[in-house]
Amino acid sequence: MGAVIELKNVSYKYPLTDTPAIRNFNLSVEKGSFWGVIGPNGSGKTTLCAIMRGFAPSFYKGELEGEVLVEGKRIDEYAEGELSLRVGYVFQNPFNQISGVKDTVFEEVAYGLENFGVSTDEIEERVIRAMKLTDIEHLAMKKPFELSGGQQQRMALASCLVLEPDILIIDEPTSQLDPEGTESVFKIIEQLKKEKRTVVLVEHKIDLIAEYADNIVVMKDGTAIRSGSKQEILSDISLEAEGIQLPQYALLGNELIKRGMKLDYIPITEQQAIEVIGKAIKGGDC
Amino acid sequence: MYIEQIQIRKDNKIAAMDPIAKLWVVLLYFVTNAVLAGISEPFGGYSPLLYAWFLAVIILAAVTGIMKKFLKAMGVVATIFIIVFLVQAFIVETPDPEIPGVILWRWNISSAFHPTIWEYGLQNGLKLGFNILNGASIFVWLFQCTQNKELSRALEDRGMNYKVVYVFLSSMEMIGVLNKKSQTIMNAQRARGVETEGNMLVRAKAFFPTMVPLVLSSITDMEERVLTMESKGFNAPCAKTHLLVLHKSGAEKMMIAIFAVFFVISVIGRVLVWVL
Repeated sequence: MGAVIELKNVSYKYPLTDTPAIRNFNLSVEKGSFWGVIGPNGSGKTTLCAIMRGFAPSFYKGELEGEVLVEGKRIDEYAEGELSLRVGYVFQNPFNQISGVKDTVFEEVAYGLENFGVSTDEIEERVIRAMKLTDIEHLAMKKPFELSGGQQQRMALASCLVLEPDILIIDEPTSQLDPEGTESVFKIIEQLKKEKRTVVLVEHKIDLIAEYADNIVVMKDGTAIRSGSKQEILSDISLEAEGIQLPQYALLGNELIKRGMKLDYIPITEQQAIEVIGKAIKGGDC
Repeated sequence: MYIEQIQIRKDNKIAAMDPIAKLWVVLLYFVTNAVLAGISEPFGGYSPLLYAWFLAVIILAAVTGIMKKFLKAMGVVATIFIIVFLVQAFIVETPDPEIPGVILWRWNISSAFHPTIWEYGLQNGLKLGFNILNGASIFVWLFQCTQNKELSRALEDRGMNYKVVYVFLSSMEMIGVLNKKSQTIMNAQRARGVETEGNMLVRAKAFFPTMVPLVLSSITDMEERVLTMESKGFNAPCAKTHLLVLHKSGAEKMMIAIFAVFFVISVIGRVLVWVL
């Protein structure tokens, strides 16, 4: 499958700064793949997302070097509005993603389609589909500002999904949500994965990244210090020295190996841990 | 199914008028008000036609079926009217310092303090007060019988730029949101020991610790909101669809005609006063 987003030797500096927020960055996101972006605060994760969506430098200004391609075309060659149909973006703060001009959740989700001149019949059909996918249909006639944080974030996801973009960039969607809200958002992300959508997800909750992502890029000081399959990256204990938190199952696996248990591989998810540790126990390798 | 539910339905024909027709009513009411304010010579400096013109909004609110809401919203305007009226009546003595003011009523409490109602002040207070009252009340009528989204939709239909319409609509909607946010900030500041309850001085001291985070957070939130709008194709160069459909109620021409007649009569009256 071909790359839908490609970053070739990309460096980016915000206006009035000398230090690049992103340095010599290379990444190729294949169609239908699920990428997780991890790294400490200030490592450039959100800037990377802004570059992939074209907000940097078009909105933030600043200097961009290198090449950013979306579906094979240079990102700066896209016409105004065209990128919205190709790359969907969900921000951290659900509250700020409300347009402020719509009275109901239904209208809020439909707003993007209105802007693109989609027919009313099609709007109704697509909005209902998006609301069902994000489990907010029962809130259709509620006021957007009266929803809880988790419900608002699901509405933001619905507003993004209703445009049926080829690629979804989701920047820390659960950073401001309670565990219940986080779970509801990750149910939608699970569904997106099942539908083989191309997703780039920035998330601090490493256990959830381990569960859903196929590939991981680890960022530090604006560069990708590691990238590859999640199994390879998240089981590598040396990343802890870089300030990267590993999944609790990977820590457990590494600890068990250190204490002499023979594991087939280091687990990174609950399912893998049950499987591999269970096998080791049954095999008498401990 | 949902598109049907979001439509605005009103039983009252005047309330259901096209918002642009309502704007015409507001405009005609305004200019008539300005003309009537100038007819004071035949009435010894008073403007009874201007005072009576306020009744037109009361009648308008009654026939629109929004009297209760209208009166409730008029509370603040009435307070401003009373303050302006009292300040003018008791303080403004005369337009010309060389001509002594005419005393209508005086309460001789002592030689140093004797509240006085001056004739010129009373005339001026009534004129100024009713100008404010009439001007504000017609807008209260407009916004009590018209939803913001109806008005913005009608303006966009008549060619107003969608960005201007967005600014208008989002500003109106954000008033409530910012109010709620300021309450949250105030609670947070109170938890940090900032005193927010008490006399005017205490409240004034609490003003800055409340306003600064409110203004700064609103500015920083704006960036994300702009990008969200961009993600929703706000600037997409194509004709937009509108889910909200506006209908004419049939009362538009009649209402505009009634207020146009009032305007013409007031202009004729003004010219007659001027000529005679």
